Amino acid sequence: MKRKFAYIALGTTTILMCFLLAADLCTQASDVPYIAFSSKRNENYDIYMMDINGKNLQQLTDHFADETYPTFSPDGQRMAYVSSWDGNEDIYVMNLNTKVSERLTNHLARDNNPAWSPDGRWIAFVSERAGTLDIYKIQVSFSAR
Amino acid sequence: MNAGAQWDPFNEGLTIKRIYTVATIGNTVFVGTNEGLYRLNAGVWERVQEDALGSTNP
Repeated sequence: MKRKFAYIALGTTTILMCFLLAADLCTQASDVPYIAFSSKRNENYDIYMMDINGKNLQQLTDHFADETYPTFSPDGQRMAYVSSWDGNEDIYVMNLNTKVSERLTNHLARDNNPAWSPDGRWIAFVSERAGTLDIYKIQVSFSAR
Repeated sequence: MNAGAQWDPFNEGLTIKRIYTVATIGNTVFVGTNEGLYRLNAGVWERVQEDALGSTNP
């Protein structure tokens, strides 16, 4: 099967293997940087993550819609991405420990290209909600951060 | 730096592939292509061989 890759995101922080709320108390179990990518291996694009040496491949999304544009939060604990599960592209954030996603934007226009602020409190994205492609920002809620 | 006046090809070995995106970790350059993930190792593009889905490695 021919594979298509797109929209790579890289995480340079280490993977934290425990699930304590106070992440700074966790033991770092691995120093292997990881990489996320969107790949069309079935009928649609889903997001996968693996170590940069190709080990430990995980499928992070599994939905009939396309999930694309993965990008890690500065602390490596969250991943913003784009999903079109309700018919158009919106921004979501996944907790990489729980794999639970929260929706950040909900608009009939396409929202895509998410990018985290250095402090992880905001996500900038591209949207055509005003008729032209412009840059917007949205504050990431506490639970999603 | 010459304000973008000169550009040099950087894709020898990848010329038949469609390159969607470029990213770096440290000094290593990665590209996502229509034929998978590649990294630049000592000036040579090499395919990152991935595990099967669901397998785990230390």
